[in-house]
Amino acid sequence: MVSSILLPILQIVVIVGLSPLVKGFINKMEARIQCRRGPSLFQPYYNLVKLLQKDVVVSETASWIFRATPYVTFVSILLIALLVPVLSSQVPLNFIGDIILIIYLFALGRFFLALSSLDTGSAFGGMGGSREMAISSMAEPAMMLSIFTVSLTVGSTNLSNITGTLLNYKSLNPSLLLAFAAFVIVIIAETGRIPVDNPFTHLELTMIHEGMILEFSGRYLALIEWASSMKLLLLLTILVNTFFPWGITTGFSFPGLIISFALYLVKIGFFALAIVILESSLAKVRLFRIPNLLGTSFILSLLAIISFYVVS
Amino acid sequence: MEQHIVVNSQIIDVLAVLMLLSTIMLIGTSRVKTCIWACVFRSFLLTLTSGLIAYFSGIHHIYITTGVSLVLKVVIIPGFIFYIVDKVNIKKEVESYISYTLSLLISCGIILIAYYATLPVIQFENTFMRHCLPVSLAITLVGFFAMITRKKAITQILGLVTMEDGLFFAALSTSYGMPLIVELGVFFDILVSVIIMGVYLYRIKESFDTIDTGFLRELRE
Repeated sequence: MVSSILLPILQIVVIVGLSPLVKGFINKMEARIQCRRGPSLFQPYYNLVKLLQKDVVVSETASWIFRATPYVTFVSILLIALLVPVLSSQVPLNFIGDIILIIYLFALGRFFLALSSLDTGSAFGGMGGSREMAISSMAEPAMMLSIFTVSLTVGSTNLSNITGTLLNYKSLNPSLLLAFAAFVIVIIAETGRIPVDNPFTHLELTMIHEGMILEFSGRYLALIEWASSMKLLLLLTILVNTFFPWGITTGFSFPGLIISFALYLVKIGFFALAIVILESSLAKVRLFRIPNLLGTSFILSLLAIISFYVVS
Repeated sequence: MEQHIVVNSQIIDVLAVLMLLSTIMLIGTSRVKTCIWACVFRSFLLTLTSGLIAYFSGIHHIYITTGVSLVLKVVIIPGFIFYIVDKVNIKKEVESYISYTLSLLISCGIILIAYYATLPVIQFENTFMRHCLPVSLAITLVGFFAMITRKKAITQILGLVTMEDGLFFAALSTSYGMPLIVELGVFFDILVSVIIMGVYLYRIKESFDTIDTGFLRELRE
């Protein structure tokens, strides 16, 4: 009984608390690869504190959508943090929704961001919003298909069941391999990392995600930045706990949680490093080449489903 | 099935799917060098698979074909193709008659057809290689598709090598390989045809200043 209250709180604390650190870690490592010293690991926290203390400037033409968007985005991501297995494979609140709800909660936040980018009437906002929507309309089917492959293998769309079953999965399955490759491409597209979007740029013609949030300031900007770093961490968590759930505890015991927290940190760190290496070795692709990348992801997940039906 | 057969079958399955993936990469990439590396990777996986099949089945003559294919397809042919690429100085990207996404979708459709066509055959098979036939047919057909849709002669050579890989894998998975003498003959054939195509490619480059085979249709004095 205690666990069903404590575990969700613990998950929220881990996701909300660690997500700026993951972002800081990626920035720091990228700087090190480029032989720069780079900002401090905790720079994203300082940024958030600074932004939270600042005033909000809102365009005169903005409607209530603009004011509601930061909260909608943040809360939708918080809800996802309650549903994803982070430290224990059994999430007490897993009866609320499955992976499909999670995908659409991500979509809800993105939808409101795109609306608010149109709301202020800024040219860059509209461009960013339309680009983001175009990319997500291609990333979503690929993500759905790769997740469905995992669901078919396990026989459930519930993330707790998926993690719990794959934890004891003893065989080598080629369709999971393909689904994993597809999911990695989708994560890169969804979080706006380098082959798709450059998270550091504020150059007008190249930005996608930054273009959408150009009009936000103060605590609104802080909430959106925080939500986007939580989104990255959550997608990495889904990746890690779906495809590599080794060592995650199945119950709620103190030593088990400590071990799975340590393993979780190692695994997230590993994938953050993988992102760093990927971003440092690739150039951003042209906007009109992005459909090719996402098409590849779609084909991979389609092949995953085909090979599931053939092999089993 | 017994436990060790299940494990063997899973290893072979994963290797087969990786081979399929690198064949898709041949279609999916836009750079000539990446195409060649994808081919090398697939040929390497193929020799690995045939080595494992030889080990699992205990048929010794497969070891010989594995060795020959390792030397030929992973070392000599790619080395020769890289040499030609440097010699004719290909910098441009791969060009195709149909768009990138469409060719990916078509190759996915080809893979589906390959699975569908071989389904009646493989459902009665009970060896550890029962899922290899659809993959090998898919590799052959995708190689053929790459050959007919690409403009550059170099990617057509790669398509030919891909087709041969697929046929070798098909023979391996249905009947533990062809007789050794046939196998060696096929290897010799592929080597000679790649070399001839390489020389041919060099000549095309000399006389047309491009290796786009579309130009061969133009009548010239």
